[in-house]
Amino acid sequence: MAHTDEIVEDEGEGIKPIIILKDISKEYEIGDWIVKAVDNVNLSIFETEFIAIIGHSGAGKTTLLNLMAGLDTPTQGEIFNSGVKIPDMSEESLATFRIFNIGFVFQNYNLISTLTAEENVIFPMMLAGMTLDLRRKKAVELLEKMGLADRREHLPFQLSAGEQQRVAIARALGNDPPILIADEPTANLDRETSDFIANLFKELKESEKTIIVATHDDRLIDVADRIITYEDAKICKQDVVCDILKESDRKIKK
Amino acid sequence: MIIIAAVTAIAVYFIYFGNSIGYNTLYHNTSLFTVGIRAIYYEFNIFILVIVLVLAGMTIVVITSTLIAQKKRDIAIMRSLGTIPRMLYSFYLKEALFLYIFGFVIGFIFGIIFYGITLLILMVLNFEIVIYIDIIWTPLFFISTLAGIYVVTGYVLRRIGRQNIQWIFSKDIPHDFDAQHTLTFIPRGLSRLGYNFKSAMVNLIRRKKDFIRYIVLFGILITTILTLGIGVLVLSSSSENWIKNAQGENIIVVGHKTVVNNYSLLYQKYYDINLVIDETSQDYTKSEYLFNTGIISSLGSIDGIENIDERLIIFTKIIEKKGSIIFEDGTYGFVGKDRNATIPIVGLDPNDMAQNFEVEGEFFSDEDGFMNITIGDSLAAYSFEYPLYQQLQIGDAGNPFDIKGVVVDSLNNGFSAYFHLKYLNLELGYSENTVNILLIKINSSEMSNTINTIQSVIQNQLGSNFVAQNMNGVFLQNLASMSILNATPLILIILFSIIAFLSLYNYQKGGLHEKIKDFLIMKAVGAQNKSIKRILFLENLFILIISSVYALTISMVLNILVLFERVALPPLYIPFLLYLVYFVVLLVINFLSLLPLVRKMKHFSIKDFEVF
Repeated sequence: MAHTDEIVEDEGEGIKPIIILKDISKEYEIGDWIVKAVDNVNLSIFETEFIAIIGHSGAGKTTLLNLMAGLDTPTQGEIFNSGVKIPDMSEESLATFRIFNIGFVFQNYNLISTLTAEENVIFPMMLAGMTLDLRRKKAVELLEKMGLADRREHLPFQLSAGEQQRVAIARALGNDPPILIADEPTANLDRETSDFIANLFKELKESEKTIIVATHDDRLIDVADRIITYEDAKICKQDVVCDILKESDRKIKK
Repeated sequence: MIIIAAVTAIAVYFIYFGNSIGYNTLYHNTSLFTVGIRAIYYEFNIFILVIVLVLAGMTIVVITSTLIAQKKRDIAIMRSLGTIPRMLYSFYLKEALFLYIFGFVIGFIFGIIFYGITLLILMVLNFEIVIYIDIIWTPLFFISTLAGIYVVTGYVLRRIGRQNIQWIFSKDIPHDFDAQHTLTFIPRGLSRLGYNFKSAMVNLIRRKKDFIRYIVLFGILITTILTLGIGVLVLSSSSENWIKNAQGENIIVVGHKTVVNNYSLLYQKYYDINLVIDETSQDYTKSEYLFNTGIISSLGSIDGIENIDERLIIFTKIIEKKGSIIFEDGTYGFVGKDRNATIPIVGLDPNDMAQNFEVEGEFFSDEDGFMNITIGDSLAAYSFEYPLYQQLQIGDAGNPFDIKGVVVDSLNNGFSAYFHLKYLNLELGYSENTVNILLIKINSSEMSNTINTIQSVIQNQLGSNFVAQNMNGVFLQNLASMSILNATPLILIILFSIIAFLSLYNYQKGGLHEKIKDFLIMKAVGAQNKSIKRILFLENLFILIISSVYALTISMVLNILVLFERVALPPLYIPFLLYLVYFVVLLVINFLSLLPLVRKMKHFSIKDFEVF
């Protein structure tokens, strides 16, 4: 099991790395300035693993998540997600890949402003080609689960921040993707809502999904199998709370 | 500010270009065309100018109002920080007014520069031009637009100032938008037509304010262009119709070669302003030119002849006689200045006319021909004050006749008069059947054979000096020369179209700035570029359909109010064909204007979220 920046490929019998970052760097040019958001990072994330990425604001956590999800391209290095080399994919195939493989919860929710809560949840299901009745049924179920049954027909600006965040999570879960990536899902939320979201992630951990969360929230960190401390564009520390590979071995032996 | 300056530049250019090139030279040149035709084109060009100025002003007001609407978020933040609505109102309204004033000054300078360049080009091409300094339209445009901004943009600001701060953050979607209720008006099965279609429809309906702004702007542009387009079409087809009917088609003129030649020259003056007709050859009453209508019986048996119109044309002095009139204010007075002119007077039988004139008033009839006369439009305009209330005296000692009608006529550029043949003969002391020309209308399919037969008949009976001349060549040249009248409006249409499309592109770019975040989210979730392109295209298509349909209606109404009452309509399919052509052009432009934006989205990075 990798505790630092080394790459682990196909260790264990049952569990494989689902995301592999190999010598990844990402730089942004802002005028004359070059800002390094990711600096030569190596990382493997395993199926069903719950990863918490912690670090100061501006450390580059969001960029790292965006790279994993294929929302951004690295300046150098290779990213494999579900066995697919992300930077090599065309725009169109990457879009299709995201529909079926990744649920992404943005830090600032990013709901489509002209669609209602229900339509926002339905949108990725529609892209996935799900039937009208099925996607409506599923959207209603997800929104009920998020405690938003009575807010289905409201537009994003008519919802509170916590409600918008819950709609964003419901949207990310619409196509039941194997990977869920969430960027500070409890930031700027009231205690009650952030409790709700933290509990939700605990539940999701049981659903055999790979979950990667950038967070400062102890309740989410406590749930994580591995905690990655990310500072100054680098992984400076990895703490394995629960060695998922050994857990998996144990399950197989049983 | 660039768009405000561009719109102002166009408006100023229109004012100067229209006045110094269009009206003063082409339409005020009394030697060219008939006054009726010039008058309606002049009126149309004034109409164009007014429309362009009104719409330019409206566009500027829409731009400043949109600018304020786009700053709603800043306004909300300032309000939440404690700025009082009155201060906000004053601050943002001043900004809008200053923006307009600066834009106007820059636009004015550019408009004058473009005008100067146009004058130089036209001078090099030997066009007659008049340097023009405008003191009416430009100040009127400036002040009315300033007032428009003060009222409309001020109203938008006041409304934002009164709104609940949270409502302001709803941007283009009404704060109280009830998606559940509104959805009952949108068929829920829209998704079955594809999510592109549904998204486009939903975006438009929910982003109501943006939708309305878009429709207003599109409508303004399409109304302007269609009004000009339909106007030009209607005018050109009707003015050509008037002249075509006044001349007739497939007409052979029979008479002494001198008279026939001069008769032809009198028509040619319509397009050739340099043509001079020798006055000594204009005495058509010489005995060798006159003949008796007895020849008609010989001609009547020739195959292919549809009608024979007997005429006696003379050149004579006429005198304007005073007439009495009751003015609109109820007062009674005498009009007329006893002006005189030498013009051709044509004696004809109103029942046998080979031509069909566009008449203001009425053409004299067989019954009232002994006391009434009909005159050409240019004569009416330049030699009479209120022609239909006045009399015309033939010669110094002749009788005065009531002017019953004014016709649009290309004979001698409208400086002509028509009188009953029988009474003209009486006036001149001739026998009742004396004529000097015949207008013979011929079936077009038998033209050449019939001319030859006529030629031989008249030479046998009247002598070798008598000829038959086909007038089609002259008449067609007259009609062709009228295309120059459409030049000014057509140039204006092309110029306005270019600027309209540029403004449209800029506006679209600004509008998409708001929408692009949604599209980026859609992309992040998994939507394909082509889907987003389709959604944008469909949105614009819906807007185009709605705005172009109402723009067509408005432009038809405007044209009906200003022009149609006085003109002959072109075939009904013409405006619709024009509409269709414009619709397709707009669609293509729309599509092209989307390409840079879609390309930008194609290379989207998650960092763009911060930008938008």
